[in-house]
Amino acid sequence: MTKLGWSLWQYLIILLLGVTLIPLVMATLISFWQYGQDIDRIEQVSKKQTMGVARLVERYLLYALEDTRKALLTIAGTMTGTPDRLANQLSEVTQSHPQFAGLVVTDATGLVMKSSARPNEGRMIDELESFSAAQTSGQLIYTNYFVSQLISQPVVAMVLPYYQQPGQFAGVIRASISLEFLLREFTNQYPFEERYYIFFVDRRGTILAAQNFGPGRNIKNNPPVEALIKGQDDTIKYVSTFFGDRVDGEERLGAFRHIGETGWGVVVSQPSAHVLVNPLRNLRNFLVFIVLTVIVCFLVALGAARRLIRPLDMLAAEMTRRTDRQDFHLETATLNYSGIREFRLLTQVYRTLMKQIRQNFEKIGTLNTEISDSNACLQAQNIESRKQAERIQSQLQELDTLYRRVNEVNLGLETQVAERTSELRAAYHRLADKATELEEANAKLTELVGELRKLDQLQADFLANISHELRTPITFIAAYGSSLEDGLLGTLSAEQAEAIHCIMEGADRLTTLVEDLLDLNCLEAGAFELSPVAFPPANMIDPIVEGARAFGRAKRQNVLVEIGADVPLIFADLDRTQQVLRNLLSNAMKFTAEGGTIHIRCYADKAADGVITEVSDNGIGIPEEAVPRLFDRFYQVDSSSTRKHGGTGIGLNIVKNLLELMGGRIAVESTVGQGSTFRYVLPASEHVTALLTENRAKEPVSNSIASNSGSLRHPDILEDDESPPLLSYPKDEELIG
Amino acid sequence: MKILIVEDEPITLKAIKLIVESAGHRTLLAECSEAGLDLAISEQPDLALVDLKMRESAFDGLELIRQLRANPATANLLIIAHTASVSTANLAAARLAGADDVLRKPFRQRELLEIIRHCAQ
Repeated sequence: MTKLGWSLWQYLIILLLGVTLIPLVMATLISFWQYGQDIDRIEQVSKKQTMGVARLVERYLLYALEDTRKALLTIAGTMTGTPDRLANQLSEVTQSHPQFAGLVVTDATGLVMKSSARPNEGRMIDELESFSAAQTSGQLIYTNYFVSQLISQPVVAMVLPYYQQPGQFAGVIRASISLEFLLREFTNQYPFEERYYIFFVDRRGTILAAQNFGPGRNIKNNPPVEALIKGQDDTIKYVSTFFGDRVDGEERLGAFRHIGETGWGVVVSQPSAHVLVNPLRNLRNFLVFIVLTVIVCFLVALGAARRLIRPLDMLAAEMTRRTDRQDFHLETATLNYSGIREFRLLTQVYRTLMKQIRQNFEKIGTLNTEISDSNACLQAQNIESRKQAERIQSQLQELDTLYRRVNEVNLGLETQVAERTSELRAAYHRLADKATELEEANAKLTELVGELRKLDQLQADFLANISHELRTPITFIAAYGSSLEDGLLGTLSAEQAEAIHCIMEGADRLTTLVEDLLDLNCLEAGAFELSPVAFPPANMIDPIVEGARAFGRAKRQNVLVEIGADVPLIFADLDRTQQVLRNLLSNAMKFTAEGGTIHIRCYADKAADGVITEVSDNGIGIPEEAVPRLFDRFYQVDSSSTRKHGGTGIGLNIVKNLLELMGGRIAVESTVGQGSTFRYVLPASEHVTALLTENRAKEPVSNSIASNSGSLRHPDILEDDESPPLLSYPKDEELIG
Repeated sequence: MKILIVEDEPITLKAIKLIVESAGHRTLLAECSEAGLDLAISEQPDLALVDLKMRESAFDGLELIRQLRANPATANLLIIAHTASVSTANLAAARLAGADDVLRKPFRQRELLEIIRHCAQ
């Protein structure tokens, strides 16, 4: 049960204790605190009260004593009279003053002359101390406590001397006073509460009269009280030691007052504030009250809780029992309704649940039967499946054997592969080493190439600069020369014309030379700029031939042009092809005698997909041994006839290089004395188109010709154009557009 | 026609002047680009012959052509560039800058006159 936690009972008990005890403990604490405050206040009040009572007693007593004094003085006055009159006076005074215990008159020697009570005449007065004091002082003396022999009781007395004649002591009048009577009278007159105790004391501390006990005790066994009566009127706390069984040992608050000049005093006391408001006594009552309250509350609550919890317990026990026994038949239910509505509801719900559980159990029973039926079916199927599984198992075993055999073969292969792999790896490492070496070499080469490039650039810059410098003087030579030649500066004589002609030829040659040198430099540096376009052969041939004809007229040379009907468009740099033709044509004219003929033929080269151009002359021809070296740089045919014509030997070399750059070739046939034929081929536009298309299919990037040109137009675009521009560079609009 | 000749080489300048004047044109001469630009704006010539390479000037002929084309006062001026360079790129650059035609140096008297005539048409 402990596992289930605390029971409702435990909770209830704790709750009850909490509810009852906590406020009570709080109240106690508060009352203790309050007590500390109260006690001081009460003490102040007590002091005042006690002192007030003492003052009252004093006043009362003083009154009584004054009365006594007056009576004594009256007697003293009558002492001169007759003895009969004195006796009457005495009895009269005694009767009128009940406080008088006795009254005696002595003579000067102390013998009693008259006595109010017994016949004491002739006896010696006792308490001689006061007698002599009265005799010497001549004043009224108040005695201490003494037991009077004359009246056989403890008293105090007032002793008054009287005189026969002035200055002649005659005796004393002594009045014994019963303070007990006065005290009794006082308490009768002022019925104080019981807690006040009053007693009188004399100078020596002897109690003269007290309420509850007889006189004669001395208070010296109680030092605080002794100190009190020796001092001024005051209050003090002390422990009572002389009031008898009832209050002895109690702490009391005492007040002392002197009674006039009598030397007597009154002590009034009451229980001290601590006694009046005794916390322990209060607490005891309080605790008893608390315990009783708790017990009563607890018992009442217990009864209520039993009423609440019992049905719950019963229900719980009932449920446990049923669940343990698996008994859900309501017919056996032993449930009592309690008078509480919630329990009634709970019981009803419980009954409904029981009913449902029983129904469910019945359903489960039917289901179980069905399940066991189908289980039987499944078992039968299982047996069948097991057989099949066995069959499959044997097949698997066969497969396994097969797989193992294959594995063995594989293992052999793997070993071989591993061996090959390691061989390959070794080879690869060797190669990697080589590659590193190559890379290093490459880096060095790159460095060298860079340096070379710089040098090349310097050279190219230098040549460009020099060519410009050379051309500037040639420019004004040509300008002035041509002006003279054309007669702008006046008509020239034949000799002058000849001279100017020579100058102009020189200028021309210089121009060609400078251009050739520059070309050569560009070719060497590989920085040749080409702008290939598609154009008809006539565009290449016509302008050159036109210029040459004018030039050839002087030597009466004839230039014949023959262009085939089905010649395709050429795809090349037009300027450069013109340069090639100009070079070949000028060579041909140079080495052809006056009146000779130069043939230019142009036809398609079906086999090579190109356009062939022939320049033939019937000039001096080239020696057979010179032909193979004809296109070498700086090579010159060493013969007197050629030297006559001059030349640098770079023209043909440039021609060959240009043609090869544009995808063409050149060849020469020559017979000495009969003439030479230079034949060069340039790529046809169609062929280039086909190549381009093919390349584009292979890779999207354009081929080398395209990237060389800087502004490639597809040849197709120009094919329709019958007269492409003479200049090879594009028009502004085309570039901008 | 009124033709502005911009050329930093004095002898060439004189030769060009001779040829151009022989054809009956009036000439304005400038030996540097700045002078050429000022003359073109103030004198409003019909045609300018501009050398591309100008040694002593703040800017070269190519820049002069660009500035002429950019200035509304000279935007419609006919411009023929002439140069001793044979680089195709340089020639194309002159065209791009706005030259109507380009003449290569050295040239003969006839070539110069021909190109002027061609441009003026």
